[in-house]
Amino acid sequence: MELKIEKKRMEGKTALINLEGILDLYTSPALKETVVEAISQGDVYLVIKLRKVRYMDSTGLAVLIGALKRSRERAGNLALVAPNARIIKVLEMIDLVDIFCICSNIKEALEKVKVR
Amino acid sequence: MVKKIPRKFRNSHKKPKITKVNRPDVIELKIPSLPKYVSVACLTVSNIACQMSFGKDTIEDIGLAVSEACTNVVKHAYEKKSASNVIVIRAGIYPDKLDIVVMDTGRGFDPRKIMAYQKNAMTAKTGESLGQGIFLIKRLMDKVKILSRNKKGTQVCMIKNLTK
Repeated sequence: MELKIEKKRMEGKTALINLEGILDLYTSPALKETVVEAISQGDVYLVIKLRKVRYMDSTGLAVLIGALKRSRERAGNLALVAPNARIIKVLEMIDLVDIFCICSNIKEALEKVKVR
Repeated sequence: MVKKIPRKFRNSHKKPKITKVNRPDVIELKIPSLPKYVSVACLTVSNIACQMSFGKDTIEDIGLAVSEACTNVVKHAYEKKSASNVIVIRAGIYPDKLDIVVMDTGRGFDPRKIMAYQKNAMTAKTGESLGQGIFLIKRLMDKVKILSRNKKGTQVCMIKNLTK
C-alpha cells in the first residue's frame, strides 16, 4: 500500500502535487512533509491532484485540512483536482466538502486556487 | 390422600419454550498496533463483506469504518508504539448482518469527549482525527457502540445490516 508523490513547482508561488495510491495513516505523513516543504519554499498556492488516489481515510483528510490551514495562514490557498466519488462521499459525510476548492482539471485548479 | 399440586408445578409437563439463537460464524484477526497493518484489517473485513454479498459501496463503507477504528487504536490507545501492542478485529457473520468489534487493551478514553465531537460536526474542521474517525464510523455503519474503560481498553462495536 503505497502513495506516490510528485511535486512540481509552478510559477506564481504555486506547487502542483500529484498523488497516486492510498492516503491513509501509513502514507499520509509523507504528504504532510511534502506540503510543509512546499510552503516553506514559498509555494503557498497548493494544487493537489487526487485523480489516482483510490482510497482516503480521516488521516488523509486531516493532512488536507492541515495543508489548507497552513496555506491560508500565509495568504495562499489549496485546490483539489479530480477526487473520486468515494473521497467526495467522505468529505460530504464530515460536512467538509464546501471548505475545499474542488476542480475537475489542473487548468481550472490553477485559475481558481488564486481566487478566494 | 391426594396431595394438592402447587400452582407453579401444574403445567410442568409442558415443554419449555426454546428460543432459537443464531450463532454467527466468527472470524478473528489480530494485528500489531502499527500504521502499516491497518490496511490489512480493512482489506480482510472488506473481503468478508464481499463474500456476504454486500454491495460495492457498502463494502467500501465497512472497510473504511474498520480502518478508522484501527487508526484510532494506533494513534491513541497505547502510550508507547510497539508491535507487541495488538488490535483484535472480530467479525461475526450473521445471515442478515455483519457484526464487527475492534478491540484494544490500551489506556481507554472518555467517551463523553467523543460525544462533544459528534454533537458539532464543525469541530471536525479543526483536524482532530479522533473526532473525525468516530464521526465517520457512526455515519458509515448502521449501529455503533463504544465501550471504553480507563486503562482497560476500548471496544468499538459496529453493525452493518445486509439488506437484499
